[in-house]
Amino acid sequence: MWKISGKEPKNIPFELGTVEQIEQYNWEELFFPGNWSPMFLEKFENRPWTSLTGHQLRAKAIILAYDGSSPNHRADAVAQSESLRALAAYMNADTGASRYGDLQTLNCAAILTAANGQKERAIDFVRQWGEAYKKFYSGRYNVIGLAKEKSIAKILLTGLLAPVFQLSSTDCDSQLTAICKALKSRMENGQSFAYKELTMRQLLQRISNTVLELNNQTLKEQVNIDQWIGYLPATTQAIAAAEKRLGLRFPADYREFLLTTNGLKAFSNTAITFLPVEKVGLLKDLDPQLVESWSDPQLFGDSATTEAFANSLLIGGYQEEQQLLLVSPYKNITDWTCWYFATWMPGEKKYPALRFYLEKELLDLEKRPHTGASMPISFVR
Amino acid sequence: MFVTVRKYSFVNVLLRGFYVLLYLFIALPPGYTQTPGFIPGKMSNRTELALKEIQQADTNELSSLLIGTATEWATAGYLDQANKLLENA
Repeated sequence: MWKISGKEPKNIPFELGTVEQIEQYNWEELFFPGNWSPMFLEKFENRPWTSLTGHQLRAKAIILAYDGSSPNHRADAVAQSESLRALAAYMNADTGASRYGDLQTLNCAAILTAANGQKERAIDFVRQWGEAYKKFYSGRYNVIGLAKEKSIAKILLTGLLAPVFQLSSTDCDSQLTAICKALKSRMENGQSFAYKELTMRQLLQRISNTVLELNNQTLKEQVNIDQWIGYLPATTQAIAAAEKRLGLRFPADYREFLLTTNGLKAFSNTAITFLPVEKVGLLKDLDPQLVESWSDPQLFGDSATTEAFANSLLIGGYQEEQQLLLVSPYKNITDWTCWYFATWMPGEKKYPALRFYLEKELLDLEKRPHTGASMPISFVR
Repeated sequence: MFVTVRKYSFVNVLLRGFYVLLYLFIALPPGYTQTPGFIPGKMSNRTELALKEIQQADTNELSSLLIGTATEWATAGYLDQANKLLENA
């Protein structure tokens, strides 16, 4: 968009490739057959697309536009046209496919139609992409990839999606002012609580309420009849017994948490099931395998951090895909920190304290579009 | 006990209308009428959430938020404001 409009900012805060590199990378990301697992591909690779439905049809349609033997890996116009026909067949059938997949499908369709001189259809696909983004992905910026193709960037520069996003120039200006002010404060004062006006009880209650507002039955079932995602509070005796058993004193915010609820159910797909205080233990005792796999000091950079990790408290995520740890002061860090680990994420995500983790989770929940509606049935007009 | 309804009778039209309403009620998924994210009124909510996120974010998250917001604005055609945001960041 910068190249087409000739409006490049003075500072670009990331490494920028050439337009050709960006387009080629985007093409590979969207159309490369290797993006699908070989086991999935072999089920339909040699079958005509007309005999396929659902995910298989979608994948086959996209792959048809890819030709590894051509210099830029784009298939010829005939194959691209066939790819579009297959995409249309997929999109016209309500297959209940994944929403992320449908964003990709619309992106592919927009690129192929624009590349084949069908500007009006391309505009329509871009508009539908905008509707889908607004409905399901608003604020999840990692899915915005439309402008990685010149032909689509030109369409976007016309402001086609402004009414779809219901975003105006005035909105952007006022948000720009507010964001710059908040940034200045953040850089001067460091990280701070976003919901500092809430007590721990109120914070957890707000999480419970937000889960109930989501149109997600699985998560809703986690909330009990009292609209509370936690349990009864732990007793001070139980907390003292656990501290004695472990030979340490819990950080203040974790004590406050336990005195509010003795454990917590997982309230999102990537959230943690908090253990009751009776079951909280040292990571090296509860999950020696995880400690072992991180025992090389080079992974954390030094042996002090590795040791702090091994001696950390596992407070949630026992035998789950993600774990939550409280790490006692180490090296030059003077307070307990909260680490989030996940099998699907490289390394740890560090929070200055447990409360930061809880607030971040609440913020993510509140950012979610509160709907479970499926994608519109008819994509192609 | 069958009731014969003439093709264009008043009862027939009423029945058809009822079926259409019933179909819409059943067919439309919950939340169909909601358009979260950018709907008027919700926009200010998004800004509020973004400002909260800035408060609590670490530097990596800040970069992601700012570059993401700028990308969203540019995607909507507001490249000048997106550039200003990047320059201020």
